Parts: sequence; structure tokens; C-alpha cells
Amino acid sequence: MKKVYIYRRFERFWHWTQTLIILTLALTGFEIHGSYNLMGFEKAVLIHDNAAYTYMALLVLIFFWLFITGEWRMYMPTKKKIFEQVQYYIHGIFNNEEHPTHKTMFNKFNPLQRATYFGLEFIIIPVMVLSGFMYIYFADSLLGHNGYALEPIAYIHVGGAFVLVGFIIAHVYLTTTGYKPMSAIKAMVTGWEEMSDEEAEVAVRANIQMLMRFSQRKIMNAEGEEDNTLFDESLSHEIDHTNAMMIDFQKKLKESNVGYFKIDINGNYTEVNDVWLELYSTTNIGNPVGKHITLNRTDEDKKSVERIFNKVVTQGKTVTGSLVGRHNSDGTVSYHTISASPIYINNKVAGLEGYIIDKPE
Amino acid sequence: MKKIIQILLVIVIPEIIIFSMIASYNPDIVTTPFDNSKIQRVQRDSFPADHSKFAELQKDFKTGQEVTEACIKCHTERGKEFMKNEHWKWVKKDTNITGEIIELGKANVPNNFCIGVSSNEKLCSKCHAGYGYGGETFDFTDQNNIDCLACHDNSGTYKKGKGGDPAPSVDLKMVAQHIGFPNKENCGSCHYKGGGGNNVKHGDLEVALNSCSREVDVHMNDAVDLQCTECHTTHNHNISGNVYTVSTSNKNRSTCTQCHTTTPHKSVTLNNHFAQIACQTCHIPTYAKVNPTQVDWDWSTAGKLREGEPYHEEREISKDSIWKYGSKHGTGIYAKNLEPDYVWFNGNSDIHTFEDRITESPLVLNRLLGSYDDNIDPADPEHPSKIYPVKIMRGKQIYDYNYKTLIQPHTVGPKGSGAYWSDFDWNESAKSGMKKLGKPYSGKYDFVATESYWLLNHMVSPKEESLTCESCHSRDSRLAKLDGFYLPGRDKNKYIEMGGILFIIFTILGVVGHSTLRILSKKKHI
Repeated sequence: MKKVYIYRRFERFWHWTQTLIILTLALTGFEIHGSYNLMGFEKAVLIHDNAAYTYMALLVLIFFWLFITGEWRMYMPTKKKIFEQVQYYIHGIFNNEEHPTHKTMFNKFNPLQRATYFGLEFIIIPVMVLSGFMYIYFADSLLGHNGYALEPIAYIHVGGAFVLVGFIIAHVYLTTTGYKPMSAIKAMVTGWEEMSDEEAEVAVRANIQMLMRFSQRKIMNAEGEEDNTLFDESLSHEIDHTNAMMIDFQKKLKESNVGYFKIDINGNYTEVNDVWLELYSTTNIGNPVGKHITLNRTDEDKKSVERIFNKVVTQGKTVTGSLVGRHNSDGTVSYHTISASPIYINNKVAGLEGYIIDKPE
Repeated sequence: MKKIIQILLVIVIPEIIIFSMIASYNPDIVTTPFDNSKIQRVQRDSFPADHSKFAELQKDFKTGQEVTEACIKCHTERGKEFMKNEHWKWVKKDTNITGEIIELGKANVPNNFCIGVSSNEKLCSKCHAGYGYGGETFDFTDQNNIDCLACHDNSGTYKKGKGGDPAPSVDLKMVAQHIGFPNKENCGSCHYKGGGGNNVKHGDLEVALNSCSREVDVHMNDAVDLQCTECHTTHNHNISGNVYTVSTSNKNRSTCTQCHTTTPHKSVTLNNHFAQIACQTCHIPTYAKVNPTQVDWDWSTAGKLREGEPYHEEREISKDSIWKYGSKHGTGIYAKNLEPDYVWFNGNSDIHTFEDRITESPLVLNRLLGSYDDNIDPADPEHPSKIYPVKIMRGKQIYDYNYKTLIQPHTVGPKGSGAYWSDFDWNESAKSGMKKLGKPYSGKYDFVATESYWLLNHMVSPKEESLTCESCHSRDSRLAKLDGFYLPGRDKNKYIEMGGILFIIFTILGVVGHSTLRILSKKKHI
């Protein structure tokens, strides 16, 4: 078991604040509706109104954050893997099968969650806020004389409340379907989610890949080149995020000294990042884009990079942690570990990409 | 450690702050419940002149008329003023539902207590503000017939006797020397006793108000001691206030806002209720708090005799209600500590007269007009309806079976006159009464169920006893009978309710089923 950082501070803050407010609204709301008598109608109305105004303020923060960071894209419904996800919940989960989708910092939701949370945050909650606001406005401005009747508004509001109660029940239950029953809830508190070693590796790799892409995008921008070349079709839209969200991670990436490269099917470099260049510039390799991987290498190294290239491109395998040497201009040799995985376009291997981490002496 | 601090900062502390804000914030405002500029209390102890020193009042008055003559010598215009007052003619001009101006009042409108004045004036003269009302020759144009003392006696000894004249025991000289502004005993001598006994008619006006605690009436109790005329303000003998059994239009009313502001509560939400809820609705939670009021009068059972003689019997139905039977009156039910009924009311009413045909049962004698829609119609700002508390008086009374009109029975009179209380013959009583009224009678009578609506305005309870939100905003709402609008807490849509509950039940079943299968399959795999 490993822990992977999934939920950032603001996400955890707004999730739990929203939880508190929705539970308060439900408790007082059904009292106002006449379903039970707990604290008295007057107190219930007062607390319900206070909670409603607080929620409006929180929603402004949440939506501002979602749109500024581009995280709203995570809520856009997708058909990709939705069938597998349904299959998992009705079949696979009982047979100890693996989750068909992986949770990463940049793609937290499976396709069913996407659909549900989209409905929740972009349909049900706005409808509840709007109908609730009209409800309060109706009561506040002379209980009438507004040109609309309270009845349909009240029924929409009550109907939405029932849906939300159902959602909360299902939502709380589904948190237990993580690695361990409490993993998901713990993650929502601490930010770090417990996962199996395999899932953790996928999640960490996805996180690092994202960091690399954003780092590179920034460099290319600085050089005045088109940055959309970085986002080819192999990148699913869920990892297409804006720079603003990634600022502190770019920093971390630079600090981590990870070099990125991309190679086409013929073995020519198509892209490298600044860290890659920094590592290789000791051998005066120049701008490698368009040049073959065997350029400026000793015979021994040529063989080892070709071996990795063939393994990835022809066999479709992922290589991790292979040791590769590079010759510096003063004649010394430095080593780095290389990890690479194939790039698929239309289900055919179209090249490979990977990262290198310098191995100190 | 760092992790725990982070969790505290990101989740625990913000939630505690937000929750305590939500649970404790109260947007109450500072208000003044009274508008002091509106309140002008009459200084009763500074009545301008000591009447006991006046030469005109040193006589031994033989009759009431002599006293009135003496009054008018100085108060030269007051008699003319008073003769325009409905206390004199028992009718006033008012606008009816079709906009036509009609004369109506006690004298010509049927009710479901003693039914009507016509032909029974002798009995009714006990409360007429004149001398000799019961006689055939009563002169409405003679100022000397005005009974000034009934309202202005401050000695507490004046009483009306036979035919509306002063009772023989009254020392008219002493009374005349001790006159002043009318106090509640003066008004109450008639208004407490409508319907033939204390509190019988109104349910919120009774002898107990002369001296009571704050719990009975916050305005008229011994400490505050408001007098009737402080709300029923009077100028030139024109007294404000309507009773909607004999009034039809929204004018000359006495209102709470004569003294109170329209935003008397700290809570903005409560103040917003002012637009649709009359003050009385919440502040008169029960009526007939001290003595019982009559709530049902069935004339159709009258006339049973024992050994040829009329009789009377009564028994308790419950702690707060009494059943009474009398050969003269029929069956009556009296009750106290009653919860009001509630109606939408816009200040206008439709009164059923002796001319109107009966088209419904129970027949509503004074339909209080108004509805929720009346309130929300911006095109008609003159008729804003509010919810008011009422006493509904139910009864069964005689009507003309063929003409479908109400009958004025002759009730009081000597044997052989057709008076029901002497002859116990409805047919003769109807014949005699209708003849006096000047309306036709077909010769066939029956009894019809009737209702009259009495707005409750008095016996306002202390604020601690006012209705709470749940009195109306609950499934078991006091406003259960009012429809046409959505009332939070009271109303629900059965389809939404059923759909919502089913949705939750299915969700729970899904969770239970799915988790059970997971637990079972886990065991199997191990």
C-alpha cells in the first residue's frame, strides 16, 4: 500500500464546508417542510437562511476556483470507460477485480462520478440555489406581490432536496469502495489517498507526466513557439489543464530535475524539455529535435538506446529504470536512469516518450 | 504533527467557525412597537367642568327626557350630532357589494341569535340609546329622547329599565351631576351583553374586561386600563369601529396601527407577515377566555313543553362547553377557551338581508369578503386581504319555505299576539313578524342552517402567549381550511413526497444489497 497526494487544500476545505452546509440545510429544510419537529420552525428558518447565504458565498469561491484552474473539465461527462465502470460496480467489485479507471490529481473522477457530480454541481445545486433564493425573496418581499406563486418553487426545492438526500446516502456508501473502506474519506481529510502499489505507480506517473508537460509548455512559450504541439491526440482532455493551476508543480518539477523526451517511430527526437537539454548540453548535442537517437553516442550507447527503443516501439513494453550513459565533452561519462513508454495513435505505436533522471556519481 | 495542524487549519477550524456563525447569527432589527406620536390618551381625571355645581342640574329629574333637556341647554349641537349616529337609528348608510348605498343595521338585518329587532322592539329597547324605543310612537326626531346617561354616566349607578327608560331606582340628579367621558362600563352595559347575556354574542367582549389581568387582555387590564374610546376614537359623536354583521365596507375602522407601528417585531420575517396576516391572528390565540360564548343556536327545537309549561335545562358537555335547552329559544351550545377560525378578509362583507333569496346551506348571513388572490392582485391595492381570526356562530333559524327568504319571527309580546315566547306557534309568529316588517309570508316555514362571522379584535393576549410559527406552519395547521396558496410547513405535494421517499428507499436498498454482496464475495475470495 502506498499513499498518493490527490486532494489539494482548497478542495478539501470546500468539500467539507459544502458537506456541513448541505447537511444543515437538509436538517432544517425538512423541518420547515413539516416533516418533523426538532428545533422549532422559527429556529429552523433562521438557520436555513443563514446556511443558504453562507452557501452562496462558498459557491462563488468554488466556481471561481473551478473556472480559473480549469478543474471544471473534470466534471464534463465522458463516455470513455463508462461501460467498464458500470461493469465494475455490478460485477467486478465482487470478484476483487481492479478498478477500471485510476484516480490522479488531475483526473479524480471515474466516468460515473463525472456524470453524477456534473449533475450535482452544475444542475441540482444551481436549481436549488435559484429556487431557494426565489423562495426567500418571496417571503421577504411581502409574501406576495411578486408576480409568481410560491407553490411550484417550493415543490422544485423540496424535490431537489429529496434527490440530494439520496445522493448523500449513495455517495457516503461509495466512499467505501476504495482500497480500504476508509481510504477515500481519509484522503478527503488529509489529501493523501491509500492505493495498491500498482495503482499508486500509475497515479504518481500520471502526476509526474502532467508536471513534465506543463514545465515544457512553459519553456516553449518562452521561446515563442506554438505550444499546442505538446498536446497531441494521445493526451486525453482530462489532463489538459491551464498553467495557473500548475504553478507550484512546475516549480517542483524543475527542482526534481526530470528530463522529458519524445521520439517518433523512426527514432528521431520530436521534443525534449529544458532539463533534458541541461543534462545533455555537457556533450554539446545541440538542438536534438529532428535528429536520430543514435547521434553523438558511442557504439555501446547506440546499442543500449536502440535496445530500449525496440523494446518499447516494437514490443509495446514500458521500460523503467534502465541505466544509460552519456559522454561529456571533457571525456568523462555520466549516467541517468531512463523510463519510457509507447505513444499510441489510432491503436498503433507512433513513437515513445519518457523521462530521464540524472544518476549522481 | 504538521499533518494534524494542516487538517486543523484546512478543515476543523473553518467548519467550527462557519457552523457557529450559521447557528447563531440573527438578523433581528431594533424597532419600536409603538408610535408614540399617535398615542393620545384621554385625561379622564381632568374633565373640564364640575357638573355637580351647575344650577341646571340641581333639579329632581322625574324622567330621562328632563335630564336630556338640561344637557342640550348647554351642549346645543350634540343632540343633532348624536341623531346621525347608528346608536340612535340602528341603521347607517353603507356601500354594499354591488356598490349601491343602502341603509342597514340592527334594525333591519337578520342575525342568528335573536334573529331581528322588528316587532320585538320592547325587549331590544333595553339597549337602545334612547328613551321609549319600544313604543309605537317613538319619535326619532325628538332630541329629548336621547339617552345621554347610558354612555356618559360616571357614577356607575345608572341602569335602563322598562321600555328603555331609566330604572326607577336611579337617582337621576346624582347621575346627571356625575357625568364624564364614556368608560368601558358604559359601553359594556350593552356591548358585553349582545345576544341576551354576558359574552353570548361576540366571544371577545364581556364583563370580565371591566377588571381583568394582563393574561385576559393586554390593553384593558387593571394596569394599562385602556377604555373603549381610546381605540374607538370619537369625534362629534361619530364613533369609529365596525362590526361586520351590520357593516359592509372598509371604512371608519378601528385598527391596531392607530397606536402600533407596522413593523413592531424585532424579526424582519415576522414584520413581513404584516402584509397578509392581521395582528389579531397571532395575538388572539383563544377567545372566550373567562366566560363562555354561544357558538350554536338551534331555534328548530324550541317549543317543547312539560305539562303545558315552558321549561329550561342545561348540562355540561365537556370542561369548557355547556348544552342548554329552553322552550323559548331551542338548543344552544356555549363554550369557552375556543380556538378561532380563520378567514381571508379585505374589510368588506356581503350581508344577507330579509329580501335576499336563500341559495345555500348553511346560509352565510355576513360573508366576509377576501381571498389570497385578492391580496396578490396589484390591480386592486384597495382591497388587500389579510387573514383574520373569527368566531363562527352557527344556528338554525326559521325561513319561508316557498319564498326562500329568512323570516322575522315575532318573539316578544303578550299571549295571543303571535309572539312565539308566549304562544309557541311558529306560523303565527312568522305571520305577525313579517307583517310588522312589511314583507310577505307564504304561510309555509322551515328551518335553515345559518352561519355568522364575528371578527375577534379584543382580549388580546400577552406576547408570550401569541401563536408560534408552528401554529400555522405545520401539518396540523390552524389555517388548514384556507386554500389557494402554498403555506410552508403545512402543504406538500403527495406525488413529490411519495417519489422522494421512494427514491431514498431505493437508494438505501441499493446500498444495503450492494454492500451485502461485497461482504459475501469477500468471504468467498478469502
